[in-house]
Amino acid sequence: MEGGSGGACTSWSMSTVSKEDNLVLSIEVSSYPDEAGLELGLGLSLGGGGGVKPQEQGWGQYGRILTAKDFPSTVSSSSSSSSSLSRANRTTAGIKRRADSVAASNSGSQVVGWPPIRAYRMNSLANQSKSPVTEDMNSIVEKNKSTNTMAEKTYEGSNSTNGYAKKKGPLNTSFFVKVNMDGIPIGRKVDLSAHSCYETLAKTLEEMFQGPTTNINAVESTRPSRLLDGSSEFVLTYEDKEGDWMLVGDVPWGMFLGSARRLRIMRTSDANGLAPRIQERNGRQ
Amino acid sequence: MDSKKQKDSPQSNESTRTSPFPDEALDRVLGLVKSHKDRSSVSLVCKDWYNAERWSRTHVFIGNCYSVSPEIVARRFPNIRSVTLKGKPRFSDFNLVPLNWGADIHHWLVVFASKYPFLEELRLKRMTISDESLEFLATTFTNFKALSLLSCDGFSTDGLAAIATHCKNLTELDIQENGIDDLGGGWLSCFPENFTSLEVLNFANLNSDVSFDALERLVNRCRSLKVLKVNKSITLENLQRLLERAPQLIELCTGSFNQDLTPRQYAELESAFNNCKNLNILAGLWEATSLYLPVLYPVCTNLTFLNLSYAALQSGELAKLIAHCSNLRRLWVLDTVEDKGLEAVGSSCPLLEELRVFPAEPFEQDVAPGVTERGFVAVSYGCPRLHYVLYFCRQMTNAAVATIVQNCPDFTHFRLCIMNPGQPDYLTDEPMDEAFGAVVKNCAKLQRLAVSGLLTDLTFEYIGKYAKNLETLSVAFAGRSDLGMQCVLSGCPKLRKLEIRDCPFGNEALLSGLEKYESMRSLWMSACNVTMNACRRLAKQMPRLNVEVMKDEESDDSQADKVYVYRSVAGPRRDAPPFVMTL
Repeated sequence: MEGGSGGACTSWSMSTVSKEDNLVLSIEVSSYPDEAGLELGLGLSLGGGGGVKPQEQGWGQYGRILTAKDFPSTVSSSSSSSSSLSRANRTTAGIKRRADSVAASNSGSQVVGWPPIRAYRMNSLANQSKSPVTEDMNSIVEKNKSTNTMAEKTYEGSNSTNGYAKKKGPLNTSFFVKVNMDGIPIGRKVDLSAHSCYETLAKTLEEMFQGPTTNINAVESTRPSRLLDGSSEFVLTYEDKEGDWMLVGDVPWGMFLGSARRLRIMRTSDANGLAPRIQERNGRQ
Repeated sequence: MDSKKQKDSPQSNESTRTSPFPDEALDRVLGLVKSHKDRSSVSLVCKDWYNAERWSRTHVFIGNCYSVSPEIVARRFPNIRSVTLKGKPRFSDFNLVPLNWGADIHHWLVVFASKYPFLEELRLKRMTISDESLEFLATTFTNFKALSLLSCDGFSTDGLAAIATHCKNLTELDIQENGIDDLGGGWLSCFPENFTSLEVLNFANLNSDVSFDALERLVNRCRSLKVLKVNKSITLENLQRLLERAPQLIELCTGSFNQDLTPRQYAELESAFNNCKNLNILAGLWEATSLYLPVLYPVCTNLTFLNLSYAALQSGELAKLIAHCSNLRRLWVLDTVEDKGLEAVGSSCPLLEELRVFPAEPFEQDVAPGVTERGFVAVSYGCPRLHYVLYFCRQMTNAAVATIVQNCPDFTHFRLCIMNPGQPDYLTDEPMDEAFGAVVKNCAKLQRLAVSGLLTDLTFEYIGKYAKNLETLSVAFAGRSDLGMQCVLSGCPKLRKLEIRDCPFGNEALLSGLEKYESMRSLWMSACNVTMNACRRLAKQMPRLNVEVMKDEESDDSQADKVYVYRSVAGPRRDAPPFVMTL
């Protein structure tokens, strides 16, 4: 009987939205390794800089994070420019976290802890909602973890025993995407909406392509998926709405659901840039 | 008269005084005084009463676990059987407090083990409790009866297993909305076969499957079971069998309310509900559809509290259901019901006292419209007894709020959350000052207020001027200057809890409350304009306050990003993690 698997349902704070900063800059660096050319988009970078290597060395990836334009200023009528690095409002240093009030048309003004809804409730909504969950829900889920060790816990154990799709109610929203694995000619399909975290998805994919693990029991399922922790020869990537290939696991689950178009299990050797992500995860509390 | 004189006389002492008011009478009377506020008042009358009160008190409520130490509590109250403790600041529910902040129960349990070995009840809110602590609790206190955990963290289902295994006299296990590590539902099967005392069981917020067989047998043998709240793993079929075993239930949280039932099963379910003559409170209904809601109709007339906040009902579905609920006092819904649904509430539930509307999609702007001012106004017309509202919406007007509080002047709790920070009246484009002005002017009994929308200092001037019974105030993205906060601090005599985030209140405001904070439980200020120096000054001048600061990673040294100030007789925390600085 599968409860929450002990394995991580992402406790890594995203390089995107860390606990405190929810408002900084957007930086998108991505490349589609298969193609001859690299497509690079570089925004402003804040700390953790984004050196982008030439294509042979693979690629790194930074998730999309909230932009300053998500938080236009209020009191004064000046609108903040999206590229403004120093949103430092003279009245507040450390303004980064502060969201000035926003005008009506504002998609995703996602401030930490706002609207003030308990993590549990948001989590439940995430399980039920018709549309893909938005970013903050899972980032909040992660933050609400009781301990902060690497051996993570799933906050949502809503997946059924064998990690496959659970029966769904009338808000049935299947979301099948193609999955290809390097070296295997035939692709498969997986229903992303049947999962609520990266861990179960990765497990499912492992079983799909590599055969079921020999002992499926609660203990075994506590080990984090090798696809996600970088210890395997393969790594899980996805193509997003814009056609860019990203590492799976860097953005909140909801954001991932909303933008993933297809998956690819890629040879780790083809995908550099993993190391920083893991270090980052280790370095977080 | 004589007794009073004797008590007041400086020469009298306990051995020489002969009070015509026998101790037994005092004890008897005090035994009936339950409210902790009243008991506090009693204890202040005189030394005799203080002593009588402290010996007779069996339940202690501690609103801030750091305001006192377990040793101090045990010294004063030798006969406690029931403890309620609250830990972290409320904004920790919204992730504004880092993990491992504190509020760990363990030391309390260790002290209780020696001072209150007969402890029966423990109710915790926003505390950290580990599995080891739960096991310690279960194995140490042989008479332990009731455990309630709300918004707590640090434990897993293993801890629950320990409770189920060892607490032979358990009557209540209430696990709500916690950051629990759900390792599986096996804990439920740990209740021994001869265990029959359970009256309250709530595991609605756990996710994993429990053994239905074990649950059914448990329900069957606990004949005093009054409250049963199951989780989503319980199907309608399961539910029917449970209800057959426990028709005496007063409070029920259903599991998943969506399953393909045959007509016969449907009829059985309906009949099962029909037999629950005592059911007053209903919740759960995950994934409920209009198909199965009608089975509830037989119980609807008796319902006083209906919690639909996990069931994404549409307006029509709600309208049909609510039409049967004429005795409803409290209703929680999702904003999927929209204004039309609320209009139905207004026409069907004249006795309604509390309404909470939660957003189904708090972060999406372009999806369903949710509820607007119209729904709220409609309810206010139909439900004049409304006194508690929590309302999440995307638009509001000053005029609407004015109408609402005219219709319902008895508000004690008014919590309005306009979800876009700093949004003005959408019709007039003005700040929402007049809305909250109307609230405080019209609602003399207001105890709790949460404001939102575009607000200038005027809102706070109104609050300071009119909200004389206000105890709790929550402010976010509001105000223009220090004046706002100063008005509140100087104007609200009963203020106990003030929590502020992302407002332009600074040092002057913080320090203007210097003398006030000792009469309050706590102050929280985050992302405001307060500096470390001001906090140090506050700490220096008010030694009986704990002034704690948490800094953000990237802010500069002089800013005090998160400030938490609270009174304490226990001195500064000794368990503060490195990121909490006590000044």
